[in-house]
Amino acid sequence: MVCCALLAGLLGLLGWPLRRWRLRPSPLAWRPHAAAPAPDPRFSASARLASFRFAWAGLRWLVRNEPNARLHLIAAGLVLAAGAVLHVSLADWRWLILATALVFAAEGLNSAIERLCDHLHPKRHPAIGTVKDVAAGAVLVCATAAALIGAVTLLPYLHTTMPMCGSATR
Amino acid sequence: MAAAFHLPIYSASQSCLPLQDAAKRRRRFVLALAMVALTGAALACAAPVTGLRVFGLGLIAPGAGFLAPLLADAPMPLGAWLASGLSLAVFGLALILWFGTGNVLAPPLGWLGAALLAAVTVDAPPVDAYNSAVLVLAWLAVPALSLARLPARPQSAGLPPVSCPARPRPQVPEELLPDTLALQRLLLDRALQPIAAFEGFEWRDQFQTAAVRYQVNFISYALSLVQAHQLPAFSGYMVEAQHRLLAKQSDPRMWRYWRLESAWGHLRPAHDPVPRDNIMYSGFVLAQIALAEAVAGRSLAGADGHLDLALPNGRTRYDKADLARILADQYDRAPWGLLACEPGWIYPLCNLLTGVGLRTADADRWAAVAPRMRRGLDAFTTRDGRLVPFRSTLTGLGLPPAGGIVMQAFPCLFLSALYPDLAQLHWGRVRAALDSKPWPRLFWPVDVGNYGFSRASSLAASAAAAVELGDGAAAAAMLAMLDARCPARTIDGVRHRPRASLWAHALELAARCNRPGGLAALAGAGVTGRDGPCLAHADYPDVLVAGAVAEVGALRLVLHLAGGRPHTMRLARLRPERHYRIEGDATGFVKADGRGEADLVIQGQGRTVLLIKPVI
Repeated sequence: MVCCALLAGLLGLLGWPLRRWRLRPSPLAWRPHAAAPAPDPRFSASARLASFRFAWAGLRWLVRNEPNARLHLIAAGLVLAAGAVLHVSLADWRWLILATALVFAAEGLNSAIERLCDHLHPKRHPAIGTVKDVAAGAVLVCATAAALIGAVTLLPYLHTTMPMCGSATR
Repeated sequence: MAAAFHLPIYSASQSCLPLQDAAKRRRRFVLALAMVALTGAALACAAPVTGLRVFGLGLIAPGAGFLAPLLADAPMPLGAWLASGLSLAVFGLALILWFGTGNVLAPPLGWLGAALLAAVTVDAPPVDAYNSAVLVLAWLAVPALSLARLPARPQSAGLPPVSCPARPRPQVPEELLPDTLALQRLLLDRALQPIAAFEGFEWRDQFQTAAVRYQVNFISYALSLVQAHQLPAFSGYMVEAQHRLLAKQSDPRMWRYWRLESAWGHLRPAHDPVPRDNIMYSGFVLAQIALAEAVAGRSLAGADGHLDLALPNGRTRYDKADLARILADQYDRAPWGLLACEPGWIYPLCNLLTGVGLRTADADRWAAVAPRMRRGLDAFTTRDGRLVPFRSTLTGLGLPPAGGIVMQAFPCLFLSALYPDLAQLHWGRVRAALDSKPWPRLFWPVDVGNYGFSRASSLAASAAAAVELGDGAAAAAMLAMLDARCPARTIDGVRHRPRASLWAHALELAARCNRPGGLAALAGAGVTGRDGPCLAHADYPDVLVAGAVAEVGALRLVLHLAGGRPHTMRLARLRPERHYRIEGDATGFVKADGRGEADLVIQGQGRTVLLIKPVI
């Protein structure tokens, strides 16, 4: 309790100025029989910020529930770490970022399509199978392209830093 | 009339294994720190390679590697200062992570990571031996000083008596007042929603005190106390609420944190949250089951047992007896007499709550565990009788009794059910502090239920303990302060305090509905007077039951009815085929069927008092 008291105190102090800028109502205000409020069509900064929250929740769900997403995340981490260690140029960083984001986004869309299909039609059906296969194929294309981008981008750097290929420089 | 308390925890002649073990581990930890620091100092002074020298400096203290230019009497760039400060901050966060989640890898990784980073980025000449020695001594000063505070003997021996004036007993309401009913609705709304839904709960982290499982636990405890004292002759939606709250504890979101904690704390991933340590789940759930069943008078187990956990290798089911047996077996083997929550961290409060669960569930197992736990508590008591919030089994280090008066008051609630003499002793000290110090200073403005910035949880938890200990004046004053500092709002007949956590609300309900020794009685004898008629079903929230007591074969009900329409309720435990007269705010007759049940239809609105008694 004491460590969380310290943490809470810290968070409370940091959050105290923002107490009036609550992005969502307190959970304690939830009432089971109250109707959900109609969405406000006007632009609202808090609504835009809330949409980030939904997106973040989707990403968390993806990592928790899809093993492939976790694999992609690990691979992306390794690639980005390699880029940092090898001091790749800014131009090459663009390619690496694009490649890792492309694969992750494709995996997210594939998972969304799969879950939607399972929810709408839980039983096997050739058409549903085709939809899922095409989506998986799209992920495969993106993953293959990302792997090639990574290889083409990083191999030259590895070639210049591997001891057997010449003197190592920092 | 004053009463003095001077009660040793146990005889000073008895050995205290946990105390000696804590001292030994702390000495070992400080020695290990010293060895690492001295090794680092030696490397810093004598290593032939720059990187190794800087790494050695980094071993002395977190972030010290970036101070290499300073210690070598060379110019110190600003970036190095920033990096050193950041490393120290990261190490501090790693310590908090260790405290909060049992992540035993975080502090060494943070420390070593900073040392390695400094080694590859900093370039400096050899460090002066004198400067290294100063750094070593400065860094080791704090842990070395902690050795001076090692307890030399059992804490309780020779504690000065505490003068505790007589206190008026709290006024226990016989029925739920409208405000309390509205507060209860806040908890019932959350308890009665579909099992997989967690609307209205506060989602922060799942590792520390704001975890949703604690909110579920304490809602259940509060509802158990309400049903035991105000609604002993009502099952209906109260039992249904307990069913659903228990089922929620099987939801993976409640217990899958353990996979991470076990991996980084025990260095071995374990999906099952029950078999080892983790009494913050197993012990708390046992208490939830045991108290709810003691009140309901029947098992709350579903077709799949009390707990049905979907683990990767298949479903695992636990009953109340399983949980009691597993916990009792662990206590038998526990070297400290207490069990850990997070890996390597023992919290006395969690052990007391687990003890309440064990005592309520299985008195025989509790009888075997009780002496051992009592001895274990002594290692968590300071020289002046205060409870240490938690202690590391790895290092023997314990945090000082910070956190405000609630850290001393709240455990009394559970001590009352386990060791009443200890409860009185500790409450005496709490009361002495309440009488002599300003309350804003005693009640820290930190709500541990949601990490908010309010005194709600401190006041509510302390008030709950005050009621249990029979200190009516303190309880009333704390609840009045809660009303003043955290005003309530009522929306759709449901009352909440925007500045308080859900956990604080549950404890406030417990404080308002419990009676002196109420939890102790529930843990010991259970609920008495369950032989007469009862109200088995009422439609929530159209019918709110504020009082339900069976009196000499009759049933007295206090209901709050919505609208002006007829409300159908179900009576049970009537004498089969007998007629019953309804008196009070409605009149009529009902006849029990062959099973001793009857439908009761009442048309009314607002507070309605009924007395249902046999005609003959």
